[in-house]
Amino acid sequence: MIEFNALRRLDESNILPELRQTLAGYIAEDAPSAVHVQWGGAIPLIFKAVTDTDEQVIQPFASAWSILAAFLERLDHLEDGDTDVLSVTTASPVKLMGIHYNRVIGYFFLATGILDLLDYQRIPERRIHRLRRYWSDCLLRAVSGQQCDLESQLALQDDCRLEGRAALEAYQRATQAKAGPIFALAFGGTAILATDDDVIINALMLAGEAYGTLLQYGDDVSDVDSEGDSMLTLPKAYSAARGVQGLPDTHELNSYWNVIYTAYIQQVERTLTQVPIAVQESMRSIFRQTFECRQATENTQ
Amino acid sequence: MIDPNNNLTDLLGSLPNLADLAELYWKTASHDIAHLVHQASSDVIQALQGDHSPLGNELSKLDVPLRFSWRRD
Repeated sequence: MIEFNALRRLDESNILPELRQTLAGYIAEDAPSAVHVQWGGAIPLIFKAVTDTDEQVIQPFASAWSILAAFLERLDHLEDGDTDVLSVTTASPVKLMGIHYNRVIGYFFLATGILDLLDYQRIPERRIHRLRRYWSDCLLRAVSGQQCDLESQLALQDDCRLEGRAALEAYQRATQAKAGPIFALAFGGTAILATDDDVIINALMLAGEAYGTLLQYGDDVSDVDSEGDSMLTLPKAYSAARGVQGLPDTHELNSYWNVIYTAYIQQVERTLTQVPIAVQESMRSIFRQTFECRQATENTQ
Repeated sequence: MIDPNNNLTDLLGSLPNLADLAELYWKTASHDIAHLVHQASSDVIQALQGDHSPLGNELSKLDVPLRFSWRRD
């Protein structure tokens, strides 16, 4: 469905072949991942739980968000200089980076353009209008978080290192801002299209914010040895905070991760008590599929 | 209709603070260890030094059980 919606918007847009070919290639590469909950697969599940109606109506939003998530992944690689194209041509690196950024920006516009496929006959116009505004708000905040993160890398390179609580607070500020709104948009945006009930909408916005933030924390914990020195990651912020307490720098990140995860889940659970059981269960399922696979596996054995 | 901006602003402070969680975690762990040291200091010291005594095994259980794992498909 993502490929269908994305290619349809490319064809409707009278796009020139130079960019169309690249974007079609991106779509073919990225669409298979969208069945997973963290790449958009959660959206139909949430919609079904809120409305108990045909999931088809939410597919344009699921497609748009999935392309958005794929765009952000590609942008992240570009910002990290993670591209092999520079080595296969003699063109200047600046020109090549310009070409790459233009392609990726085209991908972002495609994501936004897929929202135009939302069916005004089946979704009230006020909800679509509200979604579009929330889409913009979330993305602006995410970009501000990414900017904060990138600038903190410059500060670290200049040896302006944070200590104590300040390290963890700075890390959380940037991480929550850059990762939280993307999933607040996925979960809360689905609710906006599905209902006018602000209790449900707010609960799913918070759940999405927590989910996205936990994804980034979890990435940092699992990639403890692979991040470069210039990144302020959770392990580094934790170590800096611990050092000021006069505590030894031990390898206990998994235990700390458990404390974080438990506290965040409890916060989400408190919010979910106000929403219908089907919505609660869908959210628990999404968190469990993403974060608790070992526990789930052990329980079924 | 509630302004989505206002909703989001209300939500921003709603997630637990990492620094608070870290301090709570250290405080709890320190309290447990201090209690054990008070009960049987030599055994605890041995355990801390890497002795796999029964108490050392108990001490290792003080860590929060690793209940959750992590994956990205």
